[in-house]
Amino acid sequence: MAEDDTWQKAFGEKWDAIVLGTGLKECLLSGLLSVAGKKVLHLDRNPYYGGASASLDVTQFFDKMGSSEKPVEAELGKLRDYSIDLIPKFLMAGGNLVKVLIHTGVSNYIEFKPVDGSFVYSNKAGKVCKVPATPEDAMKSSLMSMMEKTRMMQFTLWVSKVQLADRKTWVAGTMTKKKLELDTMTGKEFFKYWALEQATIDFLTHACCLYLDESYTELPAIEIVKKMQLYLESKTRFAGMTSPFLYPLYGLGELPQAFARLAAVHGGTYMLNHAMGDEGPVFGEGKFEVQYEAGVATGIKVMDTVANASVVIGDPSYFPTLVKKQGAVVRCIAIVNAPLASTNLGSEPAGSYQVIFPGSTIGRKNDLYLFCCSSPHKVAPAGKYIIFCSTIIEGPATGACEGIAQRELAAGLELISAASPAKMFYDMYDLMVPVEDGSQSKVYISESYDATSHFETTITDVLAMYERIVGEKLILTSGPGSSE
Amino acid sequence: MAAPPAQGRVFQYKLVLLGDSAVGKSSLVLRFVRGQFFEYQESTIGAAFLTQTVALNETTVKFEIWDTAGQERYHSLAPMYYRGAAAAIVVYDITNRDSFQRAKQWVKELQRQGNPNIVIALAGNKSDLNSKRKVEPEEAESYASDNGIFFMETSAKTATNVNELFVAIGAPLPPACQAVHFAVA
Repeated sequence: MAEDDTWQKAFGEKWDAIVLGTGLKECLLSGLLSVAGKKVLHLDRNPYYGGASASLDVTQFFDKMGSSEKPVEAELGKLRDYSIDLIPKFLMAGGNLVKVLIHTGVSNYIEFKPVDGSFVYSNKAGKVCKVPATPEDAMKSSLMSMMEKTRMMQFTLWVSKVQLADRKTWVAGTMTKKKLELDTMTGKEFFKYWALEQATIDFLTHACCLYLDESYTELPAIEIVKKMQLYLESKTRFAGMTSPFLYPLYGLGELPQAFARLAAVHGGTYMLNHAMGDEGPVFGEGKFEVQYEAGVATGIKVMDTVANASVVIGDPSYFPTLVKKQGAVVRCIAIVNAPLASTNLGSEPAGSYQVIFPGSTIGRKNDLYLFCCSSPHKVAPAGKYIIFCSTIIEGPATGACEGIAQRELAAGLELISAASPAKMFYDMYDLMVPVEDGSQSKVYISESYDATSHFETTITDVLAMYERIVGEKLILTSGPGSSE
Repeated sequence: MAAPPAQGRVFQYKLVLLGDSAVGKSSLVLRFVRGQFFEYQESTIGAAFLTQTVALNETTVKFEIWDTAGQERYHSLAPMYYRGAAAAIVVYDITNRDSFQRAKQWVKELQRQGNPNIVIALAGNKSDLNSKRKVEPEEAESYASDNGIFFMETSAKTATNVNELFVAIGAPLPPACQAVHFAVA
């Protein structure tokens, strides 16, 4: 490193924003702010990108899970082929993260592949079933009786046609027309009109609309239609899709890295916790101190060196006194040797999919969510499957993690245990939210990644933070240089 | 050489440049793509990547050339940067011994983490500054042949060996390396 290139010297420059943590949300904000011409200094206490949303190599992953053993090639296959996510999520192909990827041109940095399947656990069928979101799927599905199939097809057909922006189209029925007041009627009333069975409502709301609980029953029905439309549109968004989801090759950790690159291309400066020059790593745990003047942040201090900026942004782990706990997630991460039961698509086992276990079907309030990814997405060697199973903790969150997982994730663990797992890890983390929105203190803190299976809430948080920081909404275009 | 032939197949490859700051990575790219050289090149070139085509015997190779965007400065280059790269040019400055050591680390990193079929070239840049030389070409040549990679001294300033470097790295690229993109656009 050249003499004048020290980190202390870089700290002394004038920054518009200092960002702590290189999770997806923080990298998205860095990228968007840099594109908007802001000068961004982005730091991380880890020597790798991604924070809570990183993908780790298998050795880093074993360490992170506190495993005393080292990964063994004889047991796990080629170790260099692993890339294991810390938060498992898919991208809705028609969702806002894809829109931001296109808007920023970052879609050019990463290769995506469609996810093979979308499944739902049915206690009626006693197994995992394909989510029948289209009329063709519905006809073949074992989830419904013949009569119910007809009702369900009428429902999905109506949902795909109705225009939410035009109230005149909010009319259902062929013989007798009925106006559905989507913004005032509740979800419960809405489904009563369609006369669908509870089991059908369960998979529509949980496996298609991706609700995590039964909150939709009391909320305006328009949300259900919006979410259902997103699912249906996502399924046909790109050619060759067999589910509404996309997933990047090499894992989700590519996303924060790609947005960090966008920031760097637009002048952002990155410092991870590596040894620099003659010094050891300088950005270790607890080393970032926010500086204030009359309650307003003026920058940060690291080992007596101050960097000034008009805003400080970061993930909750950098601001333990400015966040509060809002629930906790327990999960199991398994490396298994065989596909899970009933996850075939045609004659082949699906290599990537999600399975939703609606809470009500397994005696829980919150859904259980299972995610599988494997070698076609370049996250595991051939023949190995990485499976995540997670949920919100409902019982007491005390005692050994494995015990809590056994209690909360029982239905999912049963399925995983039958697929000859090579390794199973258990983990818990708290969901943290900021206590204040940053408008006073100029410290803008993101929320922890929630238990949803996709990035829609992630991007909502980021776009809201962007608006609070910059003072205006981000207008999404069809790419850099486009006039839209 | 920029114009592709009217017939023949065009193969597109991702090519990345690696190496310490200020060894001349961006200068090599700008010399190759635009025929330009600036004594005080800014650290980044302000684009995600540049493209340039090279005509080889029967085929045309189109390089998607990625620059580090300055992320190497504080040792914070993301692995995603060289992920999927078919070719890498690892650059050092012949007047800076540390940059040669760092180049060797990059070669190791690519062989460990990169695409298993990656074609690597080692470039000793600033060959016009022979009087300030700290790394002898024999030493770099012997390191390169021990590691099965290709070596050339270059000067982005005088354009010496710049086109030759890119032609040489294009030649061994197997057509099967061509990336199949699932375009999200």
